[in-house]
Amino acid sequence: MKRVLLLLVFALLTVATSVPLTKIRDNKPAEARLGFFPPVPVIKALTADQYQFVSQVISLQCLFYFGSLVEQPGQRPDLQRIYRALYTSTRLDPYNMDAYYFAQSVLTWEPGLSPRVVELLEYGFAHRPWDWYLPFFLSFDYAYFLKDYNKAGEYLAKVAQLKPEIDWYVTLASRYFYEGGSTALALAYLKEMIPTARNEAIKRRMMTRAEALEKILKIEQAIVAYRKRFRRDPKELGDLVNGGVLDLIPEDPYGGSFYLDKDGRVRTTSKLAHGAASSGTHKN
Amino acid sequence: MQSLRIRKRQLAAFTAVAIKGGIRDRVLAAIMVVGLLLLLTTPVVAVFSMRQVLALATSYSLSIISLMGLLLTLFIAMGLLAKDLEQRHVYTVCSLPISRSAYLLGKFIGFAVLILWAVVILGCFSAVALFVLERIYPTARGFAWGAFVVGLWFQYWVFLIVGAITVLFSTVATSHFLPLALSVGLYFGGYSAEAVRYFIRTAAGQKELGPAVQWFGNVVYWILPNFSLFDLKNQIIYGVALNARELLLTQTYALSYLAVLLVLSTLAFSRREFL
Repeated sequence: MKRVLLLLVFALLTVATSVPLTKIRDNKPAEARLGFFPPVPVIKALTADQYQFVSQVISLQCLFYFGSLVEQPGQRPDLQRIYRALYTSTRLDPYNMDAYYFAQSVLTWEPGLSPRVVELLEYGFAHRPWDWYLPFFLSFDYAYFLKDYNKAGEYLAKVAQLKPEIDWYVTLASRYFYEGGSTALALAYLKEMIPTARNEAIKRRMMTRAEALEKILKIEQAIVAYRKRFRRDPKELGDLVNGGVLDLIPEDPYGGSFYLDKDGRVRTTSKLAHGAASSGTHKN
Repeated sequence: MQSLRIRKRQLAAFTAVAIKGGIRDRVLAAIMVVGLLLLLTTPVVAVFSMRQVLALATSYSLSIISLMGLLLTLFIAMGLLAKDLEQRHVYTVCSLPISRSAYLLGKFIGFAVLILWAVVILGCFSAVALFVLERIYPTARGFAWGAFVVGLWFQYWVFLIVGAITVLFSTVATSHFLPLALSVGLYFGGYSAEAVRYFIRTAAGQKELGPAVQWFGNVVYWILPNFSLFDLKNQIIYGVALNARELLLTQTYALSYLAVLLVLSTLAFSRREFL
């Protein structure tokens, strides 16, 4: 009887400490949640022949961290930290495709991070020369983010070589490179990526972006129609509605508002990111 | 001088003793069961992957085999000699007209058979899980079954060398903790030695490390077993091509390194004084 009582007391004590501890852990800053990774040589020395698995654990940790924060209002994942974790992961195991895929799906759209993601992907392609996905990502990044159409073309040729079945994308992308139609290029790219995304958080993120880009494309097409009809540029998006080339200004799925910048390009106050709309100041 | 036939009989007898002892050992059975249970979780872990389910499953399975194999190696190899010495069983054996080398080598062969069984059983479990996953999540390049078998074979040789290191240290140590600690240290050192040598050869290494440290690093590289040679995980997981010449050289290196360790062990054990 005494033992059962002791068992109950200690079991209760365990639960009683676990609950507040879980709360404390949940409230830890992002840095603590994603964890700190020592330099690659140190990890390699400590993990002996387990470093491939450790590399995959690090990329999965990034995914869990991202997945747990991305859908919560007011919470933005620390993307710089994710980049550093993925860098470590790929240096541990240069073949780890999950790390490259995650970097491409999540980090490359963030301002300032795309050149670093391109470096990461080029490192990956040097080790995975059979994988058509890496030149596919690189051709898109060079064209869409870095506006380096020569490099984009080089990687596109490699995609065509490695995956002849994807010729529709290669043809389409080449045309967009020529015409500078970056929104349509991004849409074509996302339409190839969405059906193959296995992770729900990443898939939803891509779908929201595709939805936003479709709306931007619709506005861009209305601007072209407006120019044809009135032989001048619209001053604001309202002109497109008043001119009868657009039924109504579409809603930004990120919660922001679309507007025309001083160069006449379609922009949004959300900067195509959840939670950034409140900081947008533009009125249109 | 004992005849070769008697020596062979002694060798076989000690091999049988080592195998029976290993089979009866509950700790070893527990390690195997844990390993097999962990291998059953392979599909659960693998589905978390975003792009390479089969690669994650393979990496996870190989890690379990490597980890469980190492635990089995250390436990069995420690029991071969160190425990016999500590519990003084060896005194009775050595008072009989038998060859000490036959005693040591016979026990080591028993250890090698036990570890081979363990690797085969764990490998078969892993292969079944990977075979099923390959059907569910096919990859463009297919799974490298040949590399899988070759990789497990070389993993087995890592265990043999670690076991021989434990036996060698057991022949000179007075407790079983020292061989265990040194074997674990050399296991990690064996996987890092190549990376250390690479670093020494880089411009940063030449600049940051003094000549004495560089010399020491190189000496350590040549003395320690280079386990990086035996690590074929990239070839298994990602289908990177195997190099036949490199494999042949690695196998010869493994054989000769193991032979050196066993000869040293028999020399040390033959000269050991039992008080």
